[in-house]
Amino acid sequence: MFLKDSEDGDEQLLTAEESTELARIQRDSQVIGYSVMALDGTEIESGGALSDTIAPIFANAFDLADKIGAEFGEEDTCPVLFMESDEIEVAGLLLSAARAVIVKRKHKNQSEGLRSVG
Amino acid sequence: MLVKDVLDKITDHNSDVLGCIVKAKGETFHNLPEMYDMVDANAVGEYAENTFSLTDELGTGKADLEQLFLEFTHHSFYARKIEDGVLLLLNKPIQRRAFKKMQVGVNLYMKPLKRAIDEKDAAASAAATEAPPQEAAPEEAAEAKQEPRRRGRRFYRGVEY
Repeated sequence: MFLKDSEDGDEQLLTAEESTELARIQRDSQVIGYSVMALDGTEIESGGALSDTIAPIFANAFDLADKIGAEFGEEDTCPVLFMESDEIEVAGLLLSAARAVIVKRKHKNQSEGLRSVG
Repeated sequence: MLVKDVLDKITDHNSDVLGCIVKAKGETFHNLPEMYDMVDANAVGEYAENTFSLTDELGTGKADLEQLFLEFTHHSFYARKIEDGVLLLLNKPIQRRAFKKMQVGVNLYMKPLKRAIDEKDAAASAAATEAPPQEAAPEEAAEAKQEPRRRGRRFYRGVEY
């Protein structure tokens, strides 16, 4: 699981700790989609209702994030990307050798709280 | 209030905000500090806009993602969709928890920002319609003088002459 083909054979993309955390996320009822991708944007594994779209969209979104950072002199790749609407939130995280994107439905009270200030 | 004044207010309101960029109705405004004068604010606005356009295809239906937060080593960024564009805040390297507080602060200025953009747009349209017709270039004017004057067809008792 979470292996990427490389010239030297299969390459482990997630640490044991990251794999455990991902397994927990997969069981979370509020998660409506997730994707694990290599740093070059290659999709490794996706799941949930939005599994077809997450990896291609967020591979590009991370590229755009890096371009924004580069304009301001940031040399490293973007480690954390969050997006949200009234109802859902997306977390894109840089792991040790991969990226993970998790799409989650918000808690009802959380979205109502946001509406009250919006 | 000018668009830049609203951006200044957003920056003054929150000590974590270093400057803002707004790209709306084809124009870009910013109040970035002098040390960022090499930054292409228009390109940054476009990158943020493209990110939102991309994620519109995610398939979440009406729940379009309209806020974006990026953490980097030396900065963080907060962008949100506005009518016909995007507002982007350049911040100190804060974490997401601090960004929640910033969201509330920015909400206060969304209406003044929209009003300022609309006023700017209306003023630009008015200036375009009131502008006097441009004088023809000298060469064109000379050609026009040489052409015979045509005041339409002339008739005398039904016969054209």
